[in-house]
Amino acid sequence: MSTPHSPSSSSSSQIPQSLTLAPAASASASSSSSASGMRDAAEDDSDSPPSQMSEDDPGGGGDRWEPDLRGGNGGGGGGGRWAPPDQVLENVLESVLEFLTAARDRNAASLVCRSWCRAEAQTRRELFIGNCYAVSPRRAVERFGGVRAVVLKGKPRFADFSLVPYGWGAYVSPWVAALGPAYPRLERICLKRMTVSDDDLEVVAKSFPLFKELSLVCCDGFSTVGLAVIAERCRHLRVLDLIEDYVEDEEDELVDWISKFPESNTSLESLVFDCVGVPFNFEALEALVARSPALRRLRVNHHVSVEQLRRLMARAPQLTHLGTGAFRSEAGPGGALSVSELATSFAASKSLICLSGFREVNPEYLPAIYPVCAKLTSLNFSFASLTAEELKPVIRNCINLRTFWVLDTVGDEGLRAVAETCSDLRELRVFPLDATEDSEGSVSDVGLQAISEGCRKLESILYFCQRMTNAAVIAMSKNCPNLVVFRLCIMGRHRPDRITGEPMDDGFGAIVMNCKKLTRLSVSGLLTDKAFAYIGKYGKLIKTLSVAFAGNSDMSLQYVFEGCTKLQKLEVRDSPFGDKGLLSGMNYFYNMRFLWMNSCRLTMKGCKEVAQQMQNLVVEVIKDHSDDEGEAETVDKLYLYRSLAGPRNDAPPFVNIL
Amino acid sequence: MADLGFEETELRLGLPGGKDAAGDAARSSAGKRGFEETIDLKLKLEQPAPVEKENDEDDDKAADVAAPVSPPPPAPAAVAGGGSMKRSPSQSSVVTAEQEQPDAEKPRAAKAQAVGWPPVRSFRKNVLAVQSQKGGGKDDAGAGAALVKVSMDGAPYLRKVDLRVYRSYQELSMALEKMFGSFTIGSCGSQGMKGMNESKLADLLSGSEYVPTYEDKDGDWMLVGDVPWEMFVESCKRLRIMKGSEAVGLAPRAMEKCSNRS
Repeated sequence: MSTPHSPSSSSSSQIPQSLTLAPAASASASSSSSASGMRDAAEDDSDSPPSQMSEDDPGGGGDRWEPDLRGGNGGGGGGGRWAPPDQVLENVLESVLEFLTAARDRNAASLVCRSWCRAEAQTRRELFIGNCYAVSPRRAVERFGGVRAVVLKGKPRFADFSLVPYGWGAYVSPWVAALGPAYPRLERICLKRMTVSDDDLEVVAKSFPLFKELSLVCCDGFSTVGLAVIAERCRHLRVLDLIEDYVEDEEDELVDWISKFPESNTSLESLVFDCVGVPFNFEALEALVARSPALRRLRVNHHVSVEQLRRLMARAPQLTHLGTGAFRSEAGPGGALSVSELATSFAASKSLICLSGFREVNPEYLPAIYPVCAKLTSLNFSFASLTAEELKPVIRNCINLRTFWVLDTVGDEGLRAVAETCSDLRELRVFPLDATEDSEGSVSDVGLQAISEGCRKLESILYFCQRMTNAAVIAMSKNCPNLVVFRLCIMGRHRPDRITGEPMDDGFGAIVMNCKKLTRLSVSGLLTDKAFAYIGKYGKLIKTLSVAFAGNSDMSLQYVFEGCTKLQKLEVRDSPFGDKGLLSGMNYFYNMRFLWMNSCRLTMKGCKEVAQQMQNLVVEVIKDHSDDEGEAETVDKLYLYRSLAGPRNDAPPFVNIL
Repeated sequence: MADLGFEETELRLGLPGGKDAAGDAARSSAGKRGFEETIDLKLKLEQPAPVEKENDEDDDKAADVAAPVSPPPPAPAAVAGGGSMKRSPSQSSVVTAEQEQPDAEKPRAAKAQAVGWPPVRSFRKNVLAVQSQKGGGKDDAGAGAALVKVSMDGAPYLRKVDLRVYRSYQELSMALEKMFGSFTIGSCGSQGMKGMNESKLADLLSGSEYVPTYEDKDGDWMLVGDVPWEMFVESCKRLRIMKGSEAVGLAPRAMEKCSNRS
């Protein structure tokens, strides 16, 4: 039988830095942080800088696993307002609990007794639901009465890599329908990997007269039509952040949504729309920026030239975060903008700390940013195909950089330059220009080693490469003890150490051994069960583990389940793990948010056994095509997650819920 | 859109001759290859054993390519299943490579692509692909991306794919399936049209299965698979996945070629 999760024991040992998704005042930890913790770390996986997103708890609100305190009828909780014995005490309690912001602290408080549970439920302002199918909307709104902000996550992360078939689910509609009547004072909605239609956006715009912040990360299903409704009707809008969404762009149905913002001064603080690929009305944007005195973050799409960028910057010299669009010239009749003119614009933007964009960058314009480099804490060159020679003069000025995203075109040499200058670097992401398995790969263990030596304070790294050695990984484990996130992707499958030919077991072993704060790990390269033995033995704080093309046998899974006591999210693909490995996790599934396995060796027999024994798990077997092959014995995709809501009723035909 | 031949809605099971001949003759001058090159549009779920073996060999091949200097490491043997474990094609997310026999002399060409690997989001891939297309400006066929819109009848959303990411109709087909989920779109194998004949085509087109079609540079709508892959990539402007019964207008030409062959 399952062992119920006991959050109190875990929260006492390590109370993480609390995330408040409240407006910017608290989000000062890093420059790339923002009011909504999901924002800047959206690329390639939005589980954001470690100190931010409250990923760590078993889930806020209804997401968290606990035996139902209220004796089992669905709902109950804060919704039933019968008078407690001592009204004064309850009021005092509520006043005190207002100060608790971290979901984990709140979860712990809610377990103290019924009175505390009620009080907590009334004072929780932000509802975090890490899996939209873990709890029903009705149950969530019945328990929590005073919610002002909702964070919802939908599809499993591997959906980003085309592993979840289209139409799988994660529709926000039922949530929006429930939140509308329940929380008329709702101010903020943050959605990740959910399907959001234009109609949903309209319901949001109409349901919440005080609405202030909308953040959509890796979502799909909406278009400029929906954006127009939001712009037009949400008169108090402060934040509209669209990050790596798939925005429908049927060119003949474009709406000029930018023109729909109120004509008077707006309260806009953040407008991020670099993922909206369609052209837009630039004049309307310029006018909007001019009448948005509170605007601090602006990220435009690639339809903006440097000439236009200059105009925008002139209207908003107070910007702190700027997404620069194409960063090349669309020379008009007056000729192309000169570099020095552009540099003047940057010099005038004295508050800039975060730069991104550079989507079609003309490297000749890069010197224009020199005036702000010294103050930059975050720089995103990950869409700019720069060579080491083009990068070096820029990066040499960025002495205060904390977050740096870059393409591997800069090579090991470029990374060396980063290491020499950016001693304060906390987060590094190196993306591949050519994301195929047999690409040449421009960075290697050499670059990783250099970074480890120069950037001792590193906390988070994502590194795509083709050649790696255990020695470099071990060096990083020793030089960068503060690592919280280590994601190494050796793109060629099963690649061993390029010098010794050995598996990469020792490298990853050293990481889990030496990086005692590690909570997130992605492994790659040639790995045997030994690597997973290390992970299980030392990875005591690991919450998220991603495995691909690794391991020899089911023992790998067993090591992980038995050893990684804080494991919440496990995603596995193309590894030789079968039912035995799956079943070794039986006692741990309730402690996890989900398990994803595809292209392993699971069979229906094993999955059914899990489903039968674990009543509060939803076990989904997903096929690529819902045809009539009947029930094949092998399972290609398994997605299981704890849930208080039972099997969902919106599953498409190719999803079989056991 | 006249080329779709909407007025010709009846599905002919017999020799297609007659009034289509003239129209087809006009269109066939572009040197497009005959129907024999058209792929078998029926998805084979139970792939025959040789294909399974291919997967295994590909994995082995991948391992060997990856580790040319080392003795064969233990993991790939396990991954490849050692032969004793029954693995259906659905168990591996590896797309079978084109060649029937992985070519030892050209390991890179034979290596299969795994879906969603390396794990880079398509948003990023698309952006970089478009950039390279714009920045390159080269004329040679291999340059840049070939982004085309993909729509599916009944699905409210469009997708975009970069055709250059794929190397064969089969890879494209698998990617489309993953994108559009639960319909039978028909695997576009490269083995050619062994066994495809008029009646199979007719079955396909009369059923409720979906068929991929595309609009080429001339504005013609064709069944996917009509032309060699490389030519397809060059000439395809957009893709549309429609119900077989709607693609009937495209069928007569295909049927004619099929019958001409046999």
